[in-house]
Amino acid sequence: MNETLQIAAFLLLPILSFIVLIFFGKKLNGHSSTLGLSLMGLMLLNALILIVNAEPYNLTAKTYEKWSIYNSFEWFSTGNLSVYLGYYVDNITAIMLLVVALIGFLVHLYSTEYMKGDPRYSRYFAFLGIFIFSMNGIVLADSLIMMYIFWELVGLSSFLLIGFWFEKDRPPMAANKAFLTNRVGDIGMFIGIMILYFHVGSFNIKEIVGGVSEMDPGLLTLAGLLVFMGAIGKSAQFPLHIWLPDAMEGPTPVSALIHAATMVAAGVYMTFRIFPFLTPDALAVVAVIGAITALMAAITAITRNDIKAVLAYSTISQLGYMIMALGVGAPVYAFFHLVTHAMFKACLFLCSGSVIHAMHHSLHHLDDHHTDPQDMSNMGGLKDKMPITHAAMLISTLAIAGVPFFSGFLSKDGILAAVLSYYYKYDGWTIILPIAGFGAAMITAFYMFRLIFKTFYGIPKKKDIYKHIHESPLAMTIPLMLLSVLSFAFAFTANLNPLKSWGWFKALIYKYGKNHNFLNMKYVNSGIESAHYDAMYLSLFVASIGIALSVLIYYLKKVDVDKIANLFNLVGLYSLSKNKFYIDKIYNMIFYKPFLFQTRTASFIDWDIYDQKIVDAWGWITLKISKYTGISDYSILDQKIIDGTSHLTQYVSTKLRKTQSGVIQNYLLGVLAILVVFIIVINQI
Amino acid sequence: MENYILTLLIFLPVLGAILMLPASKYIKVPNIVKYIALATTGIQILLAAWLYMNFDPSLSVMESPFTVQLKWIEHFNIEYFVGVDGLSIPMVLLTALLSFICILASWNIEKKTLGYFSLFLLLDAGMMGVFLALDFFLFYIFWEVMLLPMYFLIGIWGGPQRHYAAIKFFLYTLFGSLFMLLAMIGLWYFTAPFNGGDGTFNLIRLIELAPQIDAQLWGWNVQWLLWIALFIGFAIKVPVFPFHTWLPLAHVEAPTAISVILAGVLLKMGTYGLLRISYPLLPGEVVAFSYTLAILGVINILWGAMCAIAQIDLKKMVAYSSVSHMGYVLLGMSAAVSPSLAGAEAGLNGAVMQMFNHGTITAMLFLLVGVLYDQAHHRWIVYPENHENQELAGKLAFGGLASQMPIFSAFVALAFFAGLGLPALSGFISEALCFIGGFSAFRLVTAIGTLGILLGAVYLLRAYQRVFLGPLNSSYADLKDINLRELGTVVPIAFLVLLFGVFPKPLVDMVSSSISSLVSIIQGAM
Repeated sequence: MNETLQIAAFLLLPILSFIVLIFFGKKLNGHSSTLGLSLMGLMLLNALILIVNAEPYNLTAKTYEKWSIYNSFEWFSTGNLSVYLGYYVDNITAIMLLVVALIGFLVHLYSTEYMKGDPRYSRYFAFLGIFIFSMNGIVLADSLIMMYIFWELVGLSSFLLIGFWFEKDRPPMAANKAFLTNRVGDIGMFIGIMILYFHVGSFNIKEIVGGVSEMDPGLLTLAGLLVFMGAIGKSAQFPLHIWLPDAMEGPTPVSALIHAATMVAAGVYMTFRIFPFLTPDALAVVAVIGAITALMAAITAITRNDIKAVLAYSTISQLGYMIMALGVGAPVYAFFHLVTHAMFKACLFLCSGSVIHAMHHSLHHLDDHHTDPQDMSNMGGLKDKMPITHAAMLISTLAIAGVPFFSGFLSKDGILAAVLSYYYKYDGWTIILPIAGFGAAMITAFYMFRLIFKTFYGIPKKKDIYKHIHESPLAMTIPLMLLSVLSFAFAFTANLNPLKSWGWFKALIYKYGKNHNFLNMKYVNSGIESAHYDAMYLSLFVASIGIALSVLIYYLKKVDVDKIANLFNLVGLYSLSKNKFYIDKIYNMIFYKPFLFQTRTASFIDWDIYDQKIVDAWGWITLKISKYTGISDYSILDQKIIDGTSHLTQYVSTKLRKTQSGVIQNYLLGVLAILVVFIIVINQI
Repeated sequence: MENYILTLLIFLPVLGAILMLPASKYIKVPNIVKYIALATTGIQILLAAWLYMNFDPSLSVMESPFTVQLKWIEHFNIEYFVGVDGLSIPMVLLTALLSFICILASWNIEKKTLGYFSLFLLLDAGMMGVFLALDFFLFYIFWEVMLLPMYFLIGIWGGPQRHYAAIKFFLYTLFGSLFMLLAMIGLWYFTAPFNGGDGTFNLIRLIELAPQIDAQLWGWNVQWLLWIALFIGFAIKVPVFPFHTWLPLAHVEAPTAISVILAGVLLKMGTYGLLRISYPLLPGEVVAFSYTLAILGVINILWGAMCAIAQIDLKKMVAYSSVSHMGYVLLGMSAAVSPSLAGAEAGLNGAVMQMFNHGTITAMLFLLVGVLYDQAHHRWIVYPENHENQELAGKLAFGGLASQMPIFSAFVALAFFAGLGLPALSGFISEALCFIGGFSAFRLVTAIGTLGILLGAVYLLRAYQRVFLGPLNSSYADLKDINLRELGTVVPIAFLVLLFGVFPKPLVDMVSSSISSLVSIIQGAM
């Protein structure tokens, strides 16, 4: 029970923050951040306790205790169908919880300053609360159905956060786009869950992993890929990545939270959980999707001028790496990269927020409401004005670029080794994976240093703006400092050798790369091991080329940018990058617009044609018929036949009267005759 | 109390309606009619709550202490036979709740109040009767009783096209009733040989008798004919594509409270009828028909949603969303023939829960649209191209209301998210169960149907963005936020939507055992 309570706290604390702030936020106002922050602090403490208790690695025996805690409760039952909600906590869960709690806490702290003066200050913290609640739900879930539930709730909370400044035009649209694009993936996920349920008889992930062996491999491939569709949506993979760049309309700390550490990581986390039962065919598709995403997003990032847009595309690209790693059978490195990326990318986003904050204040000071505070072409030379932000951003850039001594090197190196060994093993088309992997690594180093140089170095582009730039306050810089410390390799290895990735962190996660239903993981892991050095030298080489090019072009300015652009445009690459591979336009052209047109057609057919013309035709026909029956009723039946009969009767009766008979008798006789006929007819039926 | 409770539930509103006449004449209190209506429906809710507290889901109707069976028209074996089980109790609770709320929501009716509120109470009685009757003849009478007040309520208190809407609703439904009448007489006639020569309308008795019918009529199998006749009768009410076009018109033209009743309760009579009468009486036909039913359900889901996306009138959009959401019920019902018992149970439980949940959610949607309409006097999302003011034609009508009416907008958001099936709100569980059930029986059809998850989000979120988000339209800077009475209509429903979203167990427990016996009837016929 104690354990359950401790785990439940990960859900209760943030939802408490949400409930209190939604209902009493107005009264608390300035204190709402204090409340949110202290609840997050408690959660962080809780996560630390959990991970300290969880430490299962026995250094001397070099074995793991099989540490995991789990419990589940019946949610409802129809008799034969019971749905359980429960949690499953192992090392991976504990680490994820810590990551979410840490970034969540830092984002809260940062936001106390960043969001100061916003009219819906407490609402903002309430939304952060429900977001973290939903995210923790995904992390804790022991079943796919529970994961799906919180998956959708993450969709809701990201909708609320991205569209937080709803009085503007674009944030609500971005929020809708995020929610709807995610739902496309969710449909697949839901169908996949149903297939698995009806073959395994359970929603529980552990039981599914254990129970799929009898499934038809083709169907299992399909089911796995369908569930993976959810990750394509959440983790912004090609072809559903389009929502993430737009989502930058949300407040910047939100981007740090949901686009670095949590929401987008959820897709990778989920794929990590289902990894053991993904068939080799499904994994190949996963790897290709990751590779396409990594490379394409990196190329797009080169030509962004909006500081957050660069980071947005770099996030997509890095997520591509993680997905690719899962696809080639290296879940450990995927998860490793997830965590290192969470730290340095959160740091990068918060740094960009710090810059934007400073720009915004300066512009405000100048009473300038037209200049875009996020456009890097208005920046330059900020390093002297914002030394802490600069240092933090530089460190995290070194980390993402894969430079030794920094965390990104360790995890990215592992991924590249896995990709390379995959190629060694399968040859042929799989060459595209290392090309994408190493190519994206080079481009990443290039565009990230482009960002650094354009923002912090050179001569300030706008002198007046530059004059009023100030370093951000402590509440914002403390998270930067902390996160940049966590971007060093040392934080993950506690080892001074920059090339060794083994350390406390890898020790915690290593065993999760050992089980797969179809792959011989021993073989895969030894392949990764042996490709390690090739990959390392190659990745160091491409990273240095990327950095060198960036230095040449943007720092030393020895090469004209336009010439390079023209050079690349010979193969159309520059326009592709500039126009984000035209994907938004293509979707608009082949999906969105025709679809809206079809709905209008449907509505037109439904109402103007089907109802008004066909259904109402019945009314019209009835009216016409009744008109004619009316005519026939009166002028024929009544006037001619009935009256005719009476004329006849009159005639007959006058005749009959002559035969001394009465009319009454005739009538009675007639009635009797009719009755006889009627009875005969009835008896016949 | 046990013996009277159901009768009281049905006839209390009639009593209230009768009481209104002298009261309005002799008691000189303003709005006395409204207070009587409020009190009547208030007591009805208490009665329904008492019924719920004492309801034992494990008992069948024949074992239940509430069941009343009296002879009525002995010559034709017609009985006054009312009872309650897991199938009907959610509907009874829903009817009681929505009736009370609708009286509150009708508080601003000023035109001919006596007529309005007495007709409303008659309608209430009719609905209760339909859900409680266990004698087909009685069922049919209540079914028809409900029709007439509805006709007047739409035709007198409705919008600009009210006459057209009312007559269309009336004729369309009457057309359906005709088939139901034929089926009813057919059942009576064809089961007589198995009942010692006496026909019966007793629906419980007919469960045994009807499957024995083995006759031919004009070369057709009688069971099949009965199924088709009943299906047409009920399908019009649901409404099942292609019988659905009376719905948008009637819902849009009806006054707010009547739209709530239409969408919240009346539509469910169709699916309730199928589950109460067609399913247990003609299980063999269910087996043969369910694939068609699944396809129809999916067409409802997708076609309704497609049409909803194109609507520029908020209320019409909500109306089409009902077509879509009733499709989930049909899909869930089709799962009765699933090879997996869990799937069959999921589908039917999902269907009954969706009937309840859609009742609450759609009620909230209509109430909220009504609140907006009362203030803004229109409910365009985008002005139509042929708008009288050509400057406005094709332009966004509202925009940014969330900054002007924050509490109202929050409730709309809650209702919209419930409508698009967000987990933690009640719609999710029932929709998910319908899909899970449908999927276990008809994979491809259901997989196509899951597109509804996306389409539902499209129309609701697009509408929300265009009406409530973005910069505030300055013409609406004087709108007031939702008032206390309006809150009183929405909050109880919102509470239930949240409660059953997070904690669905009470709802499932209420229905699941009746569903199990229904499933075994159907599965027995396979």
